[in-house]
This record gives sequence, structure tokens and C-alpha cells, in this order.
Amino acid sequence: MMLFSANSAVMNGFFDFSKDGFGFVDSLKVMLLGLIIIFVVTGVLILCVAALNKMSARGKRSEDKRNAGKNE
Amino acid sequence: MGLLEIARDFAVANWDNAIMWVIGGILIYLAIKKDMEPTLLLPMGFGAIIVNLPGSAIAADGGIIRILYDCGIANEFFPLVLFIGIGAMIDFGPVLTNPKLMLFGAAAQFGIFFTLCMATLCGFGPMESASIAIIGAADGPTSIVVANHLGISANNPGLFSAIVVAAYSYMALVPIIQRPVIKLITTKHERLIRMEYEQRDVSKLTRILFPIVITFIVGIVAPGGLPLIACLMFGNLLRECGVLNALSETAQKVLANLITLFLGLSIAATMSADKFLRPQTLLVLGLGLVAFVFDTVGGVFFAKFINLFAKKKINPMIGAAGISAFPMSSRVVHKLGQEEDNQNFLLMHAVGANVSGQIASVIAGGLILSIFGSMLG
Repeated sequence: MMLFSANSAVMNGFFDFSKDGFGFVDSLKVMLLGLIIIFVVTGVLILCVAALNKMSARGKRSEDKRNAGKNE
Repeated sequence: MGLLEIARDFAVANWDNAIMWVIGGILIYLAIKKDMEPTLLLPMGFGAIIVNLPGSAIAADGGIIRILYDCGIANEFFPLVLFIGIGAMIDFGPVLTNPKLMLFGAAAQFGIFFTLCMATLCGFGPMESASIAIIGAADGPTSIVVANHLGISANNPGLFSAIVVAAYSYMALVPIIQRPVIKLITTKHERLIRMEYEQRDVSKLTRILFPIVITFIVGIVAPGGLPLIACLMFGNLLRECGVLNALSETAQKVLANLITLFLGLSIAATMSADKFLRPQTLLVLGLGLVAFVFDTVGGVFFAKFINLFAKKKINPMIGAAGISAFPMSSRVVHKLGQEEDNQNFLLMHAVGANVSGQIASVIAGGLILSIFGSMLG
């Protein structure tokens, strides 16, 4: 799970930040990393909500069919 | 206390204290007369006055303001519990109906990272820059938690109080800040773009699972932000589950009001003249404004970018509503749309973007905590 967390990206290579010597270039890297992660996470959340909506719509259609069957 | 001691204390008071009295008075004036975030600016203003009275030990060890600060700010208890109340107040229906609006919430966090770069250029260290940048989250509790967690409240209390004052003041000033920025970066033609709203029902199951799923995903990606997102979504779950209406009501009203009362007063513990009146305070106020402006710019330009590919054009002003200042930002966008075309109803789209900004701001706060918190060691 740590693989997907922001912490692991910080530890390695390009995104290896340290408190001393954190400069403007590092802040640009943080901006890049931050925006990428926010958009990726948002994309995942959108897909989850779309899946939840689809699941609910399917459930509602099944219920409507069952009720229609009962009424007949 | 004898007359001699009182006179000596007044002699000790210098101009700095007097300036803080004036600043406290201004905050109280803005709260009462201008109705600017009165729930926080009034207690903060009053607290700033009493903390800076000569001989005042109210913010010293054992004083009531210090007790409140240690009990609620130093350990982040107040802002996190407040988030439960905020979560209980939010209806995520508009964003669940059209989840793509969450992208505008994400884009409107651009100002946080832009301000981080600007703060670094201004000579602030990484923790200070990150704490100043999070003003762009347009969310008081997030600003407090991040700044406290990065050690700013302990190591630089003047900077901490400047950040909190800036965050809450600019949230109240969103209608004044966003209007000219939106008008500057959009054309009349763009502001006239109509967006139809399709009312779609969101199932109860979706409303219940949404806060749980969000907490799970954000908690994994940015564990530093887990306390924030968990409290926000717990509050929302109380609201949506349908079986805890009494707790939801309590969270929305009694709990939120009680914590807000204590929060405003306890912030005053960091508003002593010697810590607050420094050149950095003005710089923080300036950078806070930059954060809000570039949040707006980020959201609008993202919407324009989407319009390059989208068949159904989006009104770019919706992007500006992605800032977390709910509900003012959505009202600003709706009003601007109505001024151009009184048949253009942007409110529900703007509200969707606005509430998704709340989620995105917490994600951004969690990221900042994760990235900069790891630097603390």
C-alpha cells in the first residue's frame, strides 16, 4: 500500500526532498507531483461514483421489474 | 492589584499592543458590520484585544486562552471535530449526480501549489511555505491542521495566527476576490454558455457508500490527510445513513457552534503583538490572496482546456466554483451567470464543483502533510 502513497514517491530519485536546501525547483517538483496525484485520485473517485451509480441503477431496474411482475 | 502595579503595567505596554487592539477592533468590526465570517472573526478579534492587554496572563501557562489552545489547537482536536460538523452539513448530491464536476474541484487547488512556489521564492523555509500555501485550500480547519502538524504553531506562532486570520478573512472575501478575477480571464461569450441541469436521483446506497469509499482511497494515497478526510466523511455518513438524525443534527448545530466558539478564542493565544506584528504577517496576507486568485485561475483555465475537446461546452466560470469556500463561491458564479443571461441557471453545477472542492482541498492538505511531514523526520 505504501507503493501508492505520496510518501514512497518522495523517497525515491526525482522526488527526494530534504528540509535543508529545499528551494524553488523543489517546490516546482512538489507542484507537479501534487497536481498529478490530485487529478489521478479524483479520476479514481469519479470512476467509483460512476460505478456506484450504475450499481444502484441496475438494482432499481431489477426491483421495478419484480414489482411489475407482481402487479401482473 | 495595587494602583502602582496597574500604572507600571500600562507604562510597560507599548505601541505594539495598541496596534493589536486596533487589529482586534477591525476584526470585530468586519464580523459585525460587514458580516464577514462572524463566527470566527469576532472571537479572534476579541481574543486579540484581551491577549494584548498589559499584564495580561490570559494566554500564559494556566490562562484560559492557553488552556483552550493546548486542549484544542496544539493537538488539532478542535479543527478535526469541527470537520465532523461540516461533513454533516454537506449534501454531496450535486456531485454524485455529475461526478465529472470533481475535476474542477481538483483544478481549483492549483493556487495552493502556485503559492508554495511563490512562498519559497520569498525566502520562507519548506514548512513555512507549505503552511502558507494551504491557505489556498480555502478551508480553516485544513489550514490549522496542516500548519500545526508542520510545527508552525509551536515554532512560529505569529506566522500561524497570520495564516489562520488570512484563511478565514479571505474565505469571507471570496465574493470580492473572485468576481474581478473571473471577469478578467473569461470572455462575455464564454460567460454566456448555458448549461442544462438534469435532475437525477441518487440512491441512498450511493450516498452511504460514498463517504466510506472516499475515506478509504484518500487514506491510502495520502495517509497524512486521513484524520481530516475521516472526520469530514464520518460527519457526512452520520447525515446520510438515515438512522442517526439526532446525532447529525447535533453535529451540524451544537457541535459545530461549540467548537467554533472555542476555536476562535484559542487562536488568539498566538496573536500577541511580539509574535504577530512582523513583516512576515503582511507577506502571508499577500500570499494568501495570491492563493485564492490562482485557485480561481486554475479552475477557470481547466474548464477552458476541457472545452477544447468537449462537444457540450462548459461555462468556464464553473471552474472557479471548485474552490472550497462553500457556498459563497457557487453563489458568485451563479450570480455572474445570471448577470450575463438571466435564463442561465448555473447554480447546481456550481454547487457540485464547490462541494467537490471541499474533498479536493482535503486531498491537497493530506498530500502536503504527507510530502512535508516526511521531511520533519
